[in-house]
Amino acid sequence: MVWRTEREMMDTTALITGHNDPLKQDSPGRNALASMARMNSFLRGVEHRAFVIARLATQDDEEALDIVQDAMFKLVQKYSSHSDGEWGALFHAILHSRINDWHRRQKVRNRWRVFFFRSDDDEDDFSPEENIAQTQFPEPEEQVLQAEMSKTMLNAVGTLPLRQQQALLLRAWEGYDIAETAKIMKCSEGSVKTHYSRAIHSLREKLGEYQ
Amino acid sequence: MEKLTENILIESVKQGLDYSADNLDMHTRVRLTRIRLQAIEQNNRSSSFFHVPSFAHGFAAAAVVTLFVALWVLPNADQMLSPQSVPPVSTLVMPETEASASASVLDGNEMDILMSHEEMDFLENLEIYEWLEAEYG
Repeated sequence: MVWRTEREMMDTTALITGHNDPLKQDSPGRNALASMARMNSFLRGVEHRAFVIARLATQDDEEALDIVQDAMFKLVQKYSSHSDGEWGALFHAILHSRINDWHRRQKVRNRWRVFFFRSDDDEDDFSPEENIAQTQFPEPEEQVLQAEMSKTMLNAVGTLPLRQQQALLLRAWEGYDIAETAKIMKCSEGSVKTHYSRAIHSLREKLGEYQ
Repeated sequence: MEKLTENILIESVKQGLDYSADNLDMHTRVRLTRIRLQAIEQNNRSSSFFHVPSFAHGFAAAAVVTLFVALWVLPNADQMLSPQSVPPVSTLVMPETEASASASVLDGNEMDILMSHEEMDFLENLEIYEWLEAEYG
């Protein structure tokens, strides 16, 4: 069941328990429920963006879903007792850490694959267009244009090196400042600036023709 | 060609990413919702375990101790049930004083007799034989 507000959650609880009075303000059970309702609301707010970030990094829907799942489970398990304001940075730190782990594993796998299956490379050529989310319904012209632009943008961001991609997404899309981004990416502020600057430079070159 | 300014570029990136996030296909949306609810649910399960009443903690601790003691003692149970350690049958049917006296003389041979298929008449008169032996040597 998905609760939109804490009030809605309390009403549902009252219905289930058969009590018309709201639960006592200071009961630990109520606090835990309220905390979980807030966590649910937080995750609902970030899940789509988290999926897009993970998919950009992995270029694979299933892998992206696995990464988002890991990040959600870890946040809920380990950090649900932290204040709500910390959840955003913590969630992104976990998410990007999982993405880094995934890339490390992929590097090792690719090394072995190249070693054993050199001739299969042509069949496994990566095509980013295939992994872009498709809208479900036919759209008006404006929406088609917007979708096209989004697709182009995702392609461009998706081809950036991982660290540049992370710096760009965290700074430009998620709105974290340099210090917060450095903390999430577990690197120095100088590195964040470098990655971000290179990402902007690459994008400018790639997207220049669409101006 | 005029270069894209950083602000325009970032704004375009944000719009493109927002559009992608807002237009995920239904299958992905459903799976993300399921993942989120599972995450919340698993936390509820684990937290409900730790929020059980305190008497339940005490009961659980007592159960663990009992189990531990049982496992500690049970390996010795076969020794307790060995022929040497089984209390003599006579102690169960005789008065306490006689039983204590006869227990002292009931040795392994007698247990062998008890465990074998001797005639019941002999076994019933065994006490008399013991008494006679004690009295007249």
